[in-house]
Amino acid sequence: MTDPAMANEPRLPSDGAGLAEAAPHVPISRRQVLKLGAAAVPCLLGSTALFDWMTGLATEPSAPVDPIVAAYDPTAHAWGFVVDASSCIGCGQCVVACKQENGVPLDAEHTRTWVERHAVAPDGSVAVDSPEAGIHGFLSESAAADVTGGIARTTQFVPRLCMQCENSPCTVVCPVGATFRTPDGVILVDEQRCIGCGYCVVACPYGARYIVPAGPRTPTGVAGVADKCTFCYHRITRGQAPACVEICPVGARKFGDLTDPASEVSTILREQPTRVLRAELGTKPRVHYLGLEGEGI
Amino acid sequence: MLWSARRRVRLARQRLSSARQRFSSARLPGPVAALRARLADPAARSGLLRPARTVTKAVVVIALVSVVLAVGAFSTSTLYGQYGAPRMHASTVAWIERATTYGPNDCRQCHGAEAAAEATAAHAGLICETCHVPSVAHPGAVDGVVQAMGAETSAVCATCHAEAAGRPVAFPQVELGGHYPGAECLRCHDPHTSSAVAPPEVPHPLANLPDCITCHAPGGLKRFPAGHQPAVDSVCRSCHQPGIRESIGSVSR
Repeated sequence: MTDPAMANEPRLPSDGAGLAEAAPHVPISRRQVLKLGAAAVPCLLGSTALFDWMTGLATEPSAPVDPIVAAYDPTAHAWGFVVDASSCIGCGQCVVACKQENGVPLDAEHTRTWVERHAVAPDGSVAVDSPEAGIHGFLSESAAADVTGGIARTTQFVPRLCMQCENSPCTVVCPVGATFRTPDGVILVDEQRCIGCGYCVVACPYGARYIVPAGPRTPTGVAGVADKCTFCYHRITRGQAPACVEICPVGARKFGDLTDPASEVSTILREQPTRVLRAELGTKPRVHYLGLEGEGI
Repeated sequence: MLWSARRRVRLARQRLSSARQRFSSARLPGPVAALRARLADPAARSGLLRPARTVTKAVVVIALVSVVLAVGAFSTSTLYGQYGAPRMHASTVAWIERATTYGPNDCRQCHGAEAAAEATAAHAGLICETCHVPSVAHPGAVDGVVQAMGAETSAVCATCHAEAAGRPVAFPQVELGGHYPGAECLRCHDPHTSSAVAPPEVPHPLANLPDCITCHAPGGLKRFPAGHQPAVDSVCRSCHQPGIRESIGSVSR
């Protein structure tokens, strides 16, 4: 209410006050300021009450909030994943479960998760085969064993999925902000905002993303947008495990809350030697591997 | 011509200097000067900021602000900003609200016998849907569930238990070509107890006898189950001989 121009003006007279001679021009007296304040307080209180009332009017009857959404606090969790490569049997049921749970296309190129067979040569280098992304399992002999000339030091199955990086390249390169990281540490894609440019697919060092092809199976009902593993966000927010974790017959996939020191993943990370894929990139994956033999992957 | 140009220059200089004088006298026309004049005049100034009108203005401003806020509240969820930027929030909620397919794993409420058998077996701890199709189609499509299982029984078993490079050595696996080729897994194995059922051992000596089929023709003699496939002598003995369980055990590991 005060005019900045008046600050430099000489003081003006109030109603018969002692300052009359020194300040001959008073536009507003102390009494009037108090009156103004007394009037403003009920106005502010009234508008706040009006705001609250209209907010309640807007949300309570007309927009019922999904109880699952309302009950879930994303800031109270930090989801982590441990893959036990030494116990995976390569049955591929996790790939089947993921595709069924999330409506992912059934082919090998468009997949959220897949299983690789790593034939680790004596020098630590790795030959990888992943027929049909492992969805039908690995019934045949390892093609990777042929690659290494049958002298593999170890052959093991390595389930792959989005690493849910804490320092995620995909979210950085997205030109429209369609992919983002939730407070609980899951990278999601907003299919309404994604323009399908494919930058994130290229940027991901783990090959965990794909562009949804036109067809009967689309995870969000929209083709031409990027899609990726969400840790089954609709399941973990309901207190369930991701579909691949639930389906795994040997417990090779483990999922839990890193904020809970007693959870299985926290215990493993604390007590057993784990590693992340391509740690040198500094992406800080939330997916850790146990019993992984190969190097440079 | 030249003289006329000089005269024009002189006139222009005069005009410029007089304009400068006018400008420096600070008698600017327009709203700024009018405001300055009002501020300089005490009477006009008291009219400019009359308290009563100020209160009215304040009320109007506050009312406008509250109306804007209230309209915003109408178009905004109470979860606004909980997950970050607004569109991110909408997208996150959409991801949360998707329907689940697997589980809740309550098959055991009805299928208690299988669950009890499984609880003591090597398959204990598996959810039913690892081998069976997701129960989301059940019980609305029970036939679909059963057919999906029955058609590919051996393939379902082989998905995990076929011998393959890379499987952990401790995991039970069989070489499909060498372990009763052509036989259904479930003929001997119970998938819920995951234990092999031993075929009945031959109760009489086998030495100096003709082929099994001589006596045990299909439908001819007793102890030949209706579903049992006719077979030649060598295949009979591969199952129905003493010590077969130990033999199977050595193969399956």
